[in-house]
Amino acid sequence: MIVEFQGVEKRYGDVTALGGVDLSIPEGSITGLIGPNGAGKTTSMLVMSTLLERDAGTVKVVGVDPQREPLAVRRQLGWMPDFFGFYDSLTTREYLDFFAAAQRVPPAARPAIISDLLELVDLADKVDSDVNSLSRGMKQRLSLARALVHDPDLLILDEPASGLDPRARVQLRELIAELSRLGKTVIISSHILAELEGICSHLAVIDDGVVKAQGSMDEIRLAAQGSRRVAARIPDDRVDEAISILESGHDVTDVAVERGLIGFLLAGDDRASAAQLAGLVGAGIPVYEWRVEAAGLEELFMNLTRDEP
Amino acid sequence: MNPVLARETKERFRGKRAMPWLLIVWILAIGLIAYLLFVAAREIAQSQFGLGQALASGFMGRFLFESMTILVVTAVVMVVPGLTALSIVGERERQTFHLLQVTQMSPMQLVVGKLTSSIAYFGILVIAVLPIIAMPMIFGGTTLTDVAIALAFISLLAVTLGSISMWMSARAKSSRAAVAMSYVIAFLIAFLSFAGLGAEYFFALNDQGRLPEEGVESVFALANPYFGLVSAVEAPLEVGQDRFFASPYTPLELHLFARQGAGGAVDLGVGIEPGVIRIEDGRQFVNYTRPPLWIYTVVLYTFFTGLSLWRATAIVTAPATRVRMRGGSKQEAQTSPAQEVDDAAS
Repeated sequence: MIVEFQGVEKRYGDVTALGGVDLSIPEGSITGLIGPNGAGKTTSMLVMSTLLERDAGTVKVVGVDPQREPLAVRRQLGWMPDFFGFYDSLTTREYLDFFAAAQRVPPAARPAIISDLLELVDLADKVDSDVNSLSRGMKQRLSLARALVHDPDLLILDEPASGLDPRARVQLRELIAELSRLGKTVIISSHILAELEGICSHLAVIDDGVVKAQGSMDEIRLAAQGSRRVAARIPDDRVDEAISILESGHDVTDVAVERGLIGFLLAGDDRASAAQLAGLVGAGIPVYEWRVEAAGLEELFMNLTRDEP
Repeated sequence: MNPVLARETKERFRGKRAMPWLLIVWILAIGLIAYLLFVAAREIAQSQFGLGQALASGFMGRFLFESMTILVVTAVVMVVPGLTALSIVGERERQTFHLLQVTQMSPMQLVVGKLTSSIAYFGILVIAVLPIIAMPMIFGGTTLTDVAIALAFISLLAVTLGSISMWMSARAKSSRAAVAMSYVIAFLIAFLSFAGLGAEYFFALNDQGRLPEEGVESVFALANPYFGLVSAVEAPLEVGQDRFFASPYTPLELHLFARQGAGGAVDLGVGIEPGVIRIEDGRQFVNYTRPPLWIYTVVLYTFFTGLSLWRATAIVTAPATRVRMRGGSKQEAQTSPAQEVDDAAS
């Protein structure tokens, strides 16, 4: 594991930011960190990034405690926060050169590294452009290049897609996939859950300062599959009858009719789905279409972070 | 080379506040002031005192040197806090502070890089006017040693005020607060200490108390850069007619003589107790009853510098118990418990 949290706690006065976080992030993975606002995602990332002290628990990042040996962690860590930090009057080349110097990259190696990085983030033609003149998407990619300037093994990206237009999001997604192919471990937080779904190999769901679920995407799906969305097409004149049959069971909730389809949430596995279908057919209702959709991240997220009764 | 110093030097030579323009204005202003001082010195020397050409030249040289050094000390007090106070808080406001913290630069490297960059900037301003400051040597009345001592003291003052401003910059939550705190401290040390000294004299005289020459040290004068400068340049204190009139150092020398128990020396020996003054090679010097004031000033400035750099370094060291984020683009950064607590604290 490249990152390991055990019982990590962080409090700010009376407010608990992390209430005993247990988190394991495998090397080489792209791990998505999801959770509602104030769940503890950013606090966890700040602890990993050697910026914030924990109150209790143990943390290992690239094998060392970031609180005791921050420099050892920083050598292998690239951090990209959710904000841009730029200097006036510097070109993209100078900006990267400054951070390369701050990361102790030898002067002779810097020009080639900067050139490669700008190529990687598709900013090679902006090498002498003023940083302030770049678009938001370009700045985001430049931030990523900055985080990579010392060739770290671990990348922590806090809300990297926030505020980007669809095209820039796709570019960023491709870039992250490329970094994964290059052997980097990527930890990425996002509110845009669909962004994580398409790119992450692993997921950790944080809520109220604790990790509610973690593992590979398949493991998470299995763990959270309390309900699946089902869509059924039946003749219009039998819709009311079908709804009353579906609602008579305990497994079905959230029934709605939309564009000729009855949609509902079904609690249970394939057998529960087959039982509902058999109930309709048994009542003599023709079923033209029966579609069971795997739960998307949105639903998983809602299931895992729903308020406890 | 320190990466922060290299980057800031690059930035200072670009943009609207580019250095070449500031340098031109600065040199012109100092040159103009030097010319006006030269005219004033010539008038005083030739008209008021009726000195001969040789004596007048020496007086003019000394007058110009003293005026210029007082001017540069004032410039340090007025400029250095402004140059330094924004350094760390500016990184916070530009949202680059945490980016620097997660690099492999040490906190001390960051602080020293920032301080060096600000001081170097002021250093260039001083070097640019060095010929004007050294010009009085042409007239006589001052030596290369005097110029070197004055520059050394001015450099120490700049480093001290820069370090204090750096500390304020590290702990401030806004650039406005950092600038305000830095100037308050610089003005307290440089200007308000005169009021403190005046009050000490006032109460001593009115309450029949003990005057400085009777054994009481004025704490207000010890950290005052003007007294420190004059004490360092005018060591040992010499009693001389050509120094004692119409010179910018004169009012400051009054206190320096008084604290050595030689207040009467100002009146050219009237009422001086035996043993207060010694004569060497026909020149009169004050016998010191306590260490010269500049020693206290140097010790205090060194202490202020060390304390300030230590505190500034401690503040910028990560990991910290709290992370202050400003202007984050994402909602979580604005509403996370860390942010809420920090906002509440601010």
